[in-house]
Amino acid sequence: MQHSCFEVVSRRYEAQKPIILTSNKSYGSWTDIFPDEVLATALLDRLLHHSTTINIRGESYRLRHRRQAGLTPQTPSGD
Amino acid sequence: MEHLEALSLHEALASLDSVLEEGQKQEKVPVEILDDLLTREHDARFERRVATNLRLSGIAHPKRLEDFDYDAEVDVTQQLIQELATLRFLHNGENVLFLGPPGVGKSHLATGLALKAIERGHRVYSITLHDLVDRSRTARERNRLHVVGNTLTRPDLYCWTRSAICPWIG
Repeated sequence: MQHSCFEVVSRRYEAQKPIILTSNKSYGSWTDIFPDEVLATALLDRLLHHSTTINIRGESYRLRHRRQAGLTPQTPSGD
Repeated sequence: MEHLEALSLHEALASLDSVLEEGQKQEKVPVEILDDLLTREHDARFERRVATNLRLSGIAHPKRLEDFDYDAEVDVTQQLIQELATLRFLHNGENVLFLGPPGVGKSHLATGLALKAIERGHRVYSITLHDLVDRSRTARERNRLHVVGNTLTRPDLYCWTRSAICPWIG
């Protein structure tokens, strides 16, 4: 599985063609879930060499819609 | 007329009568009429290309950038997205990574950018990590890895969603 991922990134990198990628994991945890650390580092290196990262923060729209619809109770405000 | 057909200028052939008629009415010079005719052919071809590229892109739910709700309690810089929508990143070969918790609109923004690229005539290939791994496995079993290889390098833009949703097990 990790080889498939590495192949995508390295083939695109060599062809100088871009990738748009979405992930709910931060770079730091990528090495945790990627068993081969050398491969993980090589992948990140190629992926981030020419890149823009957009970190999105906020509440899930799915949860938000549920709450607006009254399906999920408001989280008790402890602060 | 046969020549238009032989050269596969189908749209030019179909609109020949109306273009000639309009040219006559407005007393256009021949070069203007020729320009009108070729513009019709060119536009029709471009539209067809966009439709084909959209079909081949694998985008199941086309979500447009214009429909993204910036007012939702989500922190995304609209200016940055508008800058990306110019597609300079594509011409410069720069990757774009959307990171964040589930449900904040990462896929919406990624798909929106991919659609922009398609609308400007680019070839886009969109796939989830899960499907990519699935497809690679099938291809390996059938000894057809080169087919997967083509989808990696041919598209102008590779849109890769849900890239790390589950642990990657070697």
